[in-house]
Amino acid sequence: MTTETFLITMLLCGAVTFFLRLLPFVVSGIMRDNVLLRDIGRLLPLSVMVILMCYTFKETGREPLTLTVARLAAVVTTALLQLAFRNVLLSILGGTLLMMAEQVALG
Amino acid sequence: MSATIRPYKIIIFSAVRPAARSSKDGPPRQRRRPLTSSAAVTIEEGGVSAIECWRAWELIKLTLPVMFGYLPIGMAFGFLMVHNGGAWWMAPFASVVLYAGAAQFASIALLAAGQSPIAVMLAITLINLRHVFYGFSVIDRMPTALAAKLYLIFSLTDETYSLITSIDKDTAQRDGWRLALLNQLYWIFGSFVGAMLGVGITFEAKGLEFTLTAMFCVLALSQYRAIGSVIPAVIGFLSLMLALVFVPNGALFTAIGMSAACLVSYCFYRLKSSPASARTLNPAGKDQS
Repeated sequence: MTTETFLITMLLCGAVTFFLRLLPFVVSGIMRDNVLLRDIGRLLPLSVMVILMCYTFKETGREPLTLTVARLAAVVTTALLQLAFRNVLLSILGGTLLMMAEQVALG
Repeated sequence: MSATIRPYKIIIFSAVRPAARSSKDGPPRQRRRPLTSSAAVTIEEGGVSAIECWRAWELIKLTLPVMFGYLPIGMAFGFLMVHNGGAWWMAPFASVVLYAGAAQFASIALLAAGQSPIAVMLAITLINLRHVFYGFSVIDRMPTALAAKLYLIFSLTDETYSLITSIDKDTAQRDGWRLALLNQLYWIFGSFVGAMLGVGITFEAKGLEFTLTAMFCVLALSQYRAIGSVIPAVIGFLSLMLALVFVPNGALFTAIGMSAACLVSYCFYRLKSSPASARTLNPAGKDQS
């Protein structure tokens, strides 16, 4: 990414996020009781996180199958660590270290 | 309940006047001294700076749980930004101007996938849509000073929102923006340290890019825990599969847009079919009729 792209993107994203946070103070009442908008706002982040996670598997098919399996094993490990200990750092470190070890083992 | 007027309202890290202080000098002289600014008081009385420190510590203690979350996750963000082709200053910069955890991680992935600024902005809008509702429950907890109010609105992340709603209203009005500032400082500092680590690790470590996958996995699990439904996850997965087949070059953004459309239909359908169950989602308990 170029510096200009980065700066423009961040300023746009920052502005839109501030606008979203400011909105209830400007138009209280119109959206306050909008159940539809509330539900979508609650559910959508999960969809996006799943999409972003799966998108990191985009090399599947173009890379050796063993690598894809290794990545899957690391994701499952990360998820199990997170479910067991609920420690973000531990889960990420555990999954990543396993992935790195698998890369070394696969050569 | 209106805000209680306190004489020390404008003091930075305003302290509750302790009884011990008046025992040093004569109480009448003490009372008459106008408490207008922390600087003036600090110059006149050596003991006050210690009290201010104590007050600051009280505030820091409130933010400690956020700090333990923000420092390591901020570090992960800084590290990933550098690892995905960003300069060392980019992560701290993003933490200053964007300041929204999950959205910042998403922006790395989207930028690294070569999405345009507008596409990233639209995706971030969808991710941060939930913030539209945070303001309603903290309107009566806002500080009166405009700058403090605007800053608190700008910095109303998931964690700061939880903190502001969990403390008493007077503290929130008086010190809410300070708590928010502390939280953002932890986040910026974490991003900076992470970016420095990323710059420092120069060797080509295969498998290190997996941290981004792991981060999204952890974020997805915490979202799942918050809403207790796998339907958005399934919709997201299927959207991406379809998008990869039909729009391979813009798959990421297409998938997010498709998910949003599917969830709108899903929520709309659920609302129409059983308005009663939808009503329970509303924490305010207001009648939707």
